Amino acid sequence: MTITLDSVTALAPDQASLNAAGKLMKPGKWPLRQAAADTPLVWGECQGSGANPYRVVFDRDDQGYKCSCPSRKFPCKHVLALMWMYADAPEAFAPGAPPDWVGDWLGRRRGTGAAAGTPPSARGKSLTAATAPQPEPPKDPKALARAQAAADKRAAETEAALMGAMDDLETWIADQLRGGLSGLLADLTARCRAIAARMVDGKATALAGRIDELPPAIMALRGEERLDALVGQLGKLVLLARAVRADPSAPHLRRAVATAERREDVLADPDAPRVTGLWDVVGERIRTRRDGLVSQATWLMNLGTDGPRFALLLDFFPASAGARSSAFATGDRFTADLAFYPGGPPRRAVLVDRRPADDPAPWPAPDPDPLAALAAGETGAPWQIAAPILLPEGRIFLDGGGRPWWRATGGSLSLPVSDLPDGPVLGLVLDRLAGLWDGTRLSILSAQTEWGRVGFDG
Amino acid sequence: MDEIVTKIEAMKARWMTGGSAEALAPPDWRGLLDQAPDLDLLALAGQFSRIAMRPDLAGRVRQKPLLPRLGLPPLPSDARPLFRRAIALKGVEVDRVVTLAAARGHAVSPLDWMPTPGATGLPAAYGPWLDWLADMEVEEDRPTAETWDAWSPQARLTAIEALRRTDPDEARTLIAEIAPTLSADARHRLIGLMATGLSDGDADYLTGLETDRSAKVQALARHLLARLGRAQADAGAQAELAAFFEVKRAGLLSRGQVVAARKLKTNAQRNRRFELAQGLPLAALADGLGIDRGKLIDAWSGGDGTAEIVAMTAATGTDDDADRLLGRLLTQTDPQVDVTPLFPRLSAEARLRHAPRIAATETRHFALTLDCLGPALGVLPYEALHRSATVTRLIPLLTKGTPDYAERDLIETALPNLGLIASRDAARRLLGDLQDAGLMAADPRLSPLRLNAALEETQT
Repeated sequence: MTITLDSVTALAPDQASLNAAGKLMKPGKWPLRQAAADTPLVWGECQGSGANPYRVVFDRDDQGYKCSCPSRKFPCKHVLALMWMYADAPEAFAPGAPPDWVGDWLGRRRGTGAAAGTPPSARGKSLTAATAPQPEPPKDPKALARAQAAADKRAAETEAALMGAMDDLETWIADQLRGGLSGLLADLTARCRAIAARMVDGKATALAGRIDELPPAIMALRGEERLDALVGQLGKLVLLARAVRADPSAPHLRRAVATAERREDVLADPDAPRVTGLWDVVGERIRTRRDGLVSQATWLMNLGTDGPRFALLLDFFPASAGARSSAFATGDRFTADLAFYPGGPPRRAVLVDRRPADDPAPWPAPDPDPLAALAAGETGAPWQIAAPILLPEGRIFLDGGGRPWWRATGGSLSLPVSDLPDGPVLGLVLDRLAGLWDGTRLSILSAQTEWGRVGFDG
Repeated sequence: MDEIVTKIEAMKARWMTGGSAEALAPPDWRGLLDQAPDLDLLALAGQFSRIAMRPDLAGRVRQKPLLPRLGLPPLPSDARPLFRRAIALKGVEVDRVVTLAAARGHAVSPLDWMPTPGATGLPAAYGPWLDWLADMEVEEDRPTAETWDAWSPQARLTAIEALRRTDPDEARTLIAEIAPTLSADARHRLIGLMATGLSDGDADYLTGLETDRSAKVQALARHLLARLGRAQADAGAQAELAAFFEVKRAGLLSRGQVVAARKLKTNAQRNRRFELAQGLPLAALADGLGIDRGKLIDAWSGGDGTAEIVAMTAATGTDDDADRLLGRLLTQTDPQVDVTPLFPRLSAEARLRHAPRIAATETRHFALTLDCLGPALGVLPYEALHRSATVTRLIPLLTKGTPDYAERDLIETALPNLGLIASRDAARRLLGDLQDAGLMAADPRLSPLRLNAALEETQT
């Protein structure tokens, strides 16, 4: 059995899925489409609405499939689109050897055989209907004006709500200072939960999430470090609140306290900086947040000389969607056009276009004073929590309490390290190191050693 | 700078207990304050700490030595992903994949795998990493009584075993010096090393151990003495054990002799036979039957009683006895017989000689072959494998495509094991056979075979 247009129709869970798949039938949305010559595997990467691409694979013979998107429809629109494109024009798929992630899927699904149960039916679904142009509803000038007025009203209400939230936040922080930070530290989770709930009411959802993450971050530190860290974090919140009050419509501030722009908005924004370069995947952080969302952060390092040194591809999906596989492996390299979210220091980005690259270019030389360079780069957004940093040759030391520190060769800089895994890293010279520095701890993303790249999942 | 730091510390102390810190602010900052001075000071203090202050690794610090390089070159870069995928397979023993790589002359990258501290049974090349993990730094090539504790457990056992091969008397002297200070288990492990290079020169020391405070060590000493032909057997027990067996005439004109177990009537008899076999050497049984030890092995008929013969030979027979008995049992192809106790007694040459026959007939998906080969993995030729019972069952299952539970167990166990025992040429040819039968080249279960095929064989 192989994939045909009829089988794609039959596999689709509903007509809406086929319609959605039809909109993905553009090669530009698929940076990678490949098929194995000696096996029935077909795979691709689809640039969906998230920052990280979705990885899609299917088996031509038994029509098994897998997609890394969080959709609850099976198969999802990405699988249907890839099957559809393959059924339409298999010659458009470059021959290749299955990458590791395809092999991993293969290993997990082996032995399951074809799914039992009712065979899929094409009844009620049609590819023709999925590709038919959707009639645009007639535009009524009065309705458009009403919609615009409603949008303006909503924006004004949102801004007012945000201003109220900023006032509440500052009042809350002032209250904590007046009442004593010892009391706040003793009741950190409950008090942060309360003000975070107030931020949600004030439409400052991103800020609420940030405040919710404060207690575990502070309590993970040693007792003697907590006050300093708390002062630092509350001080950043004050800076952020003041900045929002000064310029409530600035996109980077809206992003920091409320919601981020959609991918389409970033791509359409002429103020969003575009950078083309050779990018190295230096690490990934997947965190389940207290608000039930999972954040998937992929950090890229620019190996060229133009543009920012680092870029962040950030996606969120509900924890209930289950575990999600990595979009990239640490050490992957590609040439890509990135669109950075506008405003503030460029950091968060979306992939516009990506091409495989096998360029052995070395990591760039770190700044002579990495912390000073990092501080200078943060001037436009001093409220950011953690910033990526590239460090020179060094090694891991243990202090008197057995806690790990990274120290530059020569001892010019030492930074305490979090989440150091067991293993050989204590015995390795780290020629270059990429990590995240939050002012208290260095979280290592990956490092270059004489043995090769070592990644830290964190 | 110091004044600002002092002021900030005072401000933090005030905030900690509660109250305004405005009066404590550094003088230069007071002009910056607005309507909410404490919030301004909070922001300034936080930024000052982040920008102007640096973490300081003060006091006593500890740095581990650099991870030592091993005597073997690292795996080629294209083989590293295959190694990682092979060790990620369910049911695959990592130590065996590491042993295969070592047999091909490579050490694995520490970024892909590191031994656990105190691990045993690894190729000797990994000794420096075990020492590093245990924070051991030794410069001598062998431990002494004074430096014993500075060596990791695996490293000192490896060193003493090596010394037994080159200078068995020196090794025995060291063992005799160290053993009394060790626990029973550690003493048993150490004295067990005397099996390597065992000679009459060891007899006096072993005789002295027959009164050791540990029964386990006493039994070991008796077994080692038995291998030297110096066993003391209780005459009554010897006769009782011999009575469980019989020597019969067999063959044309009844010229041949066959040794077989007498038929038992009760489990109590079976237990008694087993108990006697545990305490008596093989030579005692042979004497009791009135034949020599070699004849007993050559005439053994198989069937009931084989487990006792295997156990006695493994514990008290010579290396040659073990080799002969295994050869004899393999001609009888009785799948119920567990011959694994004999494997540690085999020479490297004997392991290689017997492994193809075991691989041809065994029903444990090559697990027995792996045990037989020991550290000499990745050597069996294609001819020994492609017509083996396991591969003959495996290929149709792959072609069939929907295996049941037991068949899946066969596939998922045999495929990785094949990768560990096959020679490089055999691995390449088997990969072709398996793909022809329906497996995808990217199938993770083929990772050990692909790793094997990627590693050149070392010249010996």
